[in-house]
Amino acid sequence: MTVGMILIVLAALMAIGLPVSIAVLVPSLLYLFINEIPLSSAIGRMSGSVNSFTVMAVPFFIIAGQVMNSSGLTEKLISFTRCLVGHMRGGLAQVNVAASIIFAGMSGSAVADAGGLGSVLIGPMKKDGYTASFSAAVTAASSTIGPIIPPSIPMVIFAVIAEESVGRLFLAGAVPGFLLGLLMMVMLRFMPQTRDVKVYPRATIAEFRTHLPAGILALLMPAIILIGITVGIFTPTEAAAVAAVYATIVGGFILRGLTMQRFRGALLQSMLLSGNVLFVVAVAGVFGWILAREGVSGQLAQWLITMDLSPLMLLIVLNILLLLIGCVLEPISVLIVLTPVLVPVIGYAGIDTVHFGVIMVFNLMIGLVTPPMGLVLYVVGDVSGEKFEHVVKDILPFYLPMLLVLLLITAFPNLVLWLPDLVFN
Amino acid sequence: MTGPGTSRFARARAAMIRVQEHLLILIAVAMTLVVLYQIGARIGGFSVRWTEEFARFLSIWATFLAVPILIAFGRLINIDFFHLALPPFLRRSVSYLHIVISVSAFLVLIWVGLGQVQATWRQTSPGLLWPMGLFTLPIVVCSVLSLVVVPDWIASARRDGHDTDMEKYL
Repeated sequence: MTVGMILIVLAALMAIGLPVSIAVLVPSLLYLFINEIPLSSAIGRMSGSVNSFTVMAVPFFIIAGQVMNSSGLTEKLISFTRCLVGHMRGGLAQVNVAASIIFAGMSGSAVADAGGLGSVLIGPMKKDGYTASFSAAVTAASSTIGPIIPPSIPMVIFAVIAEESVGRLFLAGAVPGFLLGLLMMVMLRFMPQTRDVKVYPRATIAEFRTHLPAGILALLMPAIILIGITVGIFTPTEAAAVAAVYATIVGGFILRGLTMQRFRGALLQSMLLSGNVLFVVAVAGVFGWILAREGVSGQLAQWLITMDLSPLMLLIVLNILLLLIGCVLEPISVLIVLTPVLVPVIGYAGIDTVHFGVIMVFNLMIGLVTPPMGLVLYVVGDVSGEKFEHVVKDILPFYLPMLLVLLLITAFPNLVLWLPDLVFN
Repeated sequence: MTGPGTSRFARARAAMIRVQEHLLILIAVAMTLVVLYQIGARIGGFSVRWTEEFARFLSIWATFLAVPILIAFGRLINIDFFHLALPPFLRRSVSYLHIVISVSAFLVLIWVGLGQVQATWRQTSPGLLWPMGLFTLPIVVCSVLSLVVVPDWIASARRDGHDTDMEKYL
């Protein structure tokens, strides 16, 4: 059984809707069986893939985000961002993007961001004069910032597979994430959809003072994570655990919105969400080993040598490939299948792994808001009660800032590497 | 999963899932406390060699204990765009095919996993000095529990496949 056959079986199983983890597991087991490799090696590799302290950052980051959400911080955060940007043209649409930037520091997941902010913001946006589809489109587009600004679950997964520093990857996402948010806010100022909608009066000092504590509480979370990691007090996993405890203290004792029942619910939901991701990581360990055994990276590198591409051209080719794949597959699966194949190739071309990691995650986030898959579009469609195709139509202008930032970070690696180099060197 | 007309087996499955849910909550708390203790120990200047390994051990169990619950509620990550586009009869047939493939995979994992647990039982982990088989046992337990909830998966297939609630995706 060759790699080509495995990939065909994998694609077919995924296409018929079999859970991704089982779709990866089945051809892997078939490969081992047909090639007379002991099937017990699959068990060892499945267990080994999740037997990693770095991987444990995933459940902790999810707990931190879920607990913060359950404690009612999202509503308070939106009031705070309304004080900051609600007076600008685009009112709540601007608030939506600004809140996504701050929310990104707590959740690390685009879908969680879209679901959390969408459920609170889309209703009021409609009341303020936006169409449901535009409100949903702004929420979907801004949610892509979530996994680019640290902390980021896809970046943890990439770091584990590529054996790269989680701290460097986190910092590398900061500038592109803020840049994307900024460009979206600038674009909203000039869009015709924001011309005749409600704009909030500039916040008074008293209002600002009322809502500032919620903003500080939210912003302290990424600060604890990043400072802890960069100063060397914590490993990324320890920082994630501290963030989870911080979220519990804030929710339970400061905001007092976290009841014991909500806390238990948040913990259970977090463990189920992380179990969902880590089960894919576990079976992908077997799949990754098979790809390595078949020398797929080497063959791909050899093929690219014959193409004689410059690093920039190679990145552009990979961008196109990842954008196309991201439109039909969900990000974690793509990261798990392609990271072990592509990282040696980009290493051979002299491209920094951290630079590529950010580009890869960025591409996959664009895929999350692009049909036919476009998971986030379905989420915001559900929340807004708007048809999928209407949301798709209204999100089209937002591809402009997304693709522009992607182009910028592809052409200018320093935009990505400047901050991690500054801090870690 | 429970109601006036439910069978004893359905009630047992519901109870099993409730136990797993409690275990997952306990594991989440334990994992956090162990990692906090590790940080405290390091800052306090004394090193503890079992904390990281224990946290990893809990994480493995949490991952595989979550899987049967996710299966029972049809919430494992999947790409249902094409599946949902199929006509109802074909969609249900494909859902049954999912179950057949998944059950076969879990049976293989049980069969191979038991052998692996036995083979590694005498080896001990470096920190806790616990049998290495305890680190692979969750895969077997997950597979067995996943087979137990197959009736729920079948019920989901009868209801025309999986729903697409947002929580199942990250």
